[in-house]
Amino acid sequence: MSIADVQVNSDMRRLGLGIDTGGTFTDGVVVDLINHKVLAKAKSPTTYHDLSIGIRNAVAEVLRIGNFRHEDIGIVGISTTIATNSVLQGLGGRVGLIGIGWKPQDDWKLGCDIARFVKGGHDSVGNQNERLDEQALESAISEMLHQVDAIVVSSIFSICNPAHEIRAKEMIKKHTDIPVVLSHVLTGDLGIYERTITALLNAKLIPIMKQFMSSVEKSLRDLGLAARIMVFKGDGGLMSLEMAQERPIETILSGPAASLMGGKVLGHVEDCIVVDIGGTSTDIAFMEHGFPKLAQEGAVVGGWRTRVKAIDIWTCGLGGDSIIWLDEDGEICIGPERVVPLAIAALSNSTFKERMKKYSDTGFYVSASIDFSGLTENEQKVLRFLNEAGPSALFEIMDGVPDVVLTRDVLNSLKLRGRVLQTGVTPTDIMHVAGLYRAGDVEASEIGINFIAEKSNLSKDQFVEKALERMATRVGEEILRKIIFDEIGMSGGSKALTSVLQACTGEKRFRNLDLKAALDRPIVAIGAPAKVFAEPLAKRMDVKVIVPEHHDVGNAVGAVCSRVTESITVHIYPKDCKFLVFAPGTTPIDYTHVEEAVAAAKSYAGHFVRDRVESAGVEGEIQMKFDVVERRFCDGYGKEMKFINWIDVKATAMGIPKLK
Amino acid sequence: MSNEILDKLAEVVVKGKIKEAKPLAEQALNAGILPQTIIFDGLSKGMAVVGEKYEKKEYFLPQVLLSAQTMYAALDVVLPKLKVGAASASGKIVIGVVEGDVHDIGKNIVKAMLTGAGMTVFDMGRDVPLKKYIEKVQAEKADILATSTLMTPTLAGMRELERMLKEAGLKGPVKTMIGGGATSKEFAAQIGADAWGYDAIEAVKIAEELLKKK
Repeated sequence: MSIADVQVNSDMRRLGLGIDTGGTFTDGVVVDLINHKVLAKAKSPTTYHDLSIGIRNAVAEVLRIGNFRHEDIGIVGISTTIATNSVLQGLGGRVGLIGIGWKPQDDWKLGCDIARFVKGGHDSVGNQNERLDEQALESAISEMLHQVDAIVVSSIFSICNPAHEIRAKEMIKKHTDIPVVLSHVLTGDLGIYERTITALLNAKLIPIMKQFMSSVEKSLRDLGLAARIMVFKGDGGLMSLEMAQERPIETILSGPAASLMGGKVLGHVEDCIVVDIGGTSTDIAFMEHGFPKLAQEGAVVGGWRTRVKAIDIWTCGLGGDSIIWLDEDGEICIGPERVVPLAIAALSNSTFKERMKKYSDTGFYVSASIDFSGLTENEQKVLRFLNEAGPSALFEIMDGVPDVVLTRDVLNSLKLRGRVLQTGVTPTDIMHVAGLYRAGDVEASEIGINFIAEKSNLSKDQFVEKALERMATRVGEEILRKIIFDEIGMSGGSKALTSVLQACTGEKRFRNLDLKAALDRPIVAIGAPAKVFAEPLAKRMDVKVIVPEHHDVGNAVGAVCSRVTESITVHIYPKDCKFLVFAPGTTPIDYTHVEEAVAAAKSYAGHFVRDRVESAGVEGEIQMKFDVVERRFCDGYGKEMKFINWIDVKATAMGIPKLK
Repeated sequence: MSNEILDKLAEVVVKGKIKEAKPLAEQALNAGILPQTIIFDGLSKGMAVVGEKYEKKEYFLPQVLLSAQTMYAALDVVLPKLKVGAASASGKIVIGVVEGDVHDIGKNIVKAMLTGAGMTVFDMGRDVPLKKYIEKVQAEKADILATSTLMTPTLAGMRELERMLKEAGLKGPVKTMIGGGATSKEFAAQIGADAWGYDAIEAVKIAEELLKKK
């Protein structure tokens, strides 16, 4: 299956090929890298057993559709879920762990095949705690040498002084060529457990990523593409193929990042709020200078708490398939529960509409699974009935499975486990009746909406209008909630706050008060129902709303239109009237003056990220950005301290990937 | 009868009659009063009154210290009789003055108030090397690490403690509270301490709050 869409076919030479291996489809898209226009797009089913097959099909298709000359494609950007999926399924190579100067607590799960702990390590200011026990280390190495595919070395406070990790690597490298992952290389954050987990997952992923990348590379070369291949990272930047094989963990959770970047690229803005509205949920994220804001805490994947930087995403249960219901005051509410839209449910069952009328009900039960494993006998009976009968009302199930007495409880338990869904009035139905979208049976939507409109004493048209208004209100409200939460850390809130926030989105909530929120950056809305949900906000709030075209291949666009990025934070600590600089990969160095320390920190951090970006292959100037965060504070007597306390120097380098 | 002894005990604590504390505590135990009752309804009540008086500037540090020592004299008798689990259930606290500072009067008052509130307090003393705190916290599986300092140069130690806890994966399971003249609420927030207390009275409230959050 393929969807073709050709727009421009001119003589442009700077073309990029974006690839995204999504849950259902693998997307291929060719983008003009100068004006970020989508020239051609194609979809091919994702092939889970070997992702490179789906990639190959999508790429071949998009090249055929656009009739591009292969030499015009200068770069290939891949966004892949292979790392995330492998972590979730627990796949990967066998890994040995050498811990230096620490022992795991009782409840620490490590997930490695063999672990040895030796003496050594440093303290929080980089002084040696204990001498590295090289003898024990040597025997640990020889013990695990022939049983593992990679070795992780993780030393306590290695981010303050990596000497012992580096020494261990030297010793391992004398015996073998297998990859050695040092915990301080992947993250500069504290937390020996999280750092070790990050390094272990990374080491497990190395063989998987190597194999994947080489098969992708081969597929592309077979198709006659000589372009450079870049891999999309979870923080929204790109890295080289070589880097991806060294640090595969950095590609985890790159899906949402690619989607956000795609929205930004297609919306042609750098600073914006990207709102991704799907069927079940809405994701909101902020973009600063073209890159997503990152979360304070590291990414959590498959129950593993890592120290990998993830995007700060606000997720709420609001989408095309969210249930529309009335609260005790008769207010229209949307979500968070996900249901099957009536328009869609009616497609699979010809008697559905009549029965809806007969029972005056919209909450029918639908089977969502043919998997009977782990269910009780009663649950199996009910699910079997639903599989045969199609959407059924509660009474029909009671009649159909008479020997199950507590039908409602059984259904709830099945619902909780996602085996059964309910039907209901949804934004999708509203859009059907309003004539904004067509995928199912409009009549079914109308029947359901008539029921609920009657309950709220409105005509059908009035209800549809109000529901449409409320859909936009909810999107606006969630954006405002995120902004407030980021500033003052409040969540939830009272009914009064909700009313105020909703009024700020331009909905008339108070008779004598008009509120209108102004946002400092435009909203870029993506996802299938984005137009309906978000576009009205442009008139109601003081904000620009962009709903870009081609957002269905936004991930692939994001993957190829990003830049190579690297960032690192160097910390400066005061110690005995001096300033210690903790630079990557070296022991701490002290400076007498704070200015010297900051200058040195900038220089270290700058060189570090610049080297990494350069080695990935970039053209033109490398953009450098420094953020210096000084933490001063007042002491207990209310006077400002004479010395600056802790300074973080964060350097970010960005470059445009070199073509070919 | 039992109420009389408890009231007397409270009074002894408030007035700081250190010599009467021990015999009175023994008398209370002999009368069959439960150790918990002695602590909560006698000694703690007295200490609470001391706190109030201190707050109202009716008492000054020397009186508070005297009362604290009086309470300790009684506790020396009562605590060994306490069934294990009764007090430790309500929270274990490691307390001390950070490395480089020897001002421990405030810390001692906080310790007395916390003990009075029924918590198990491990006193590390003053000028304590940072590593010792972490070791003690791990060894006792403590709920709270409370540190104080009166001097600004030693503030850095408090931040190091936070970093050491974080590296060891203890930040979260172990809550931290800080206090002392050199510290402030802003400072606590900066270094990532879980709470800051203005004085010993606030310290008890804060410790109780922190334990609730666990």
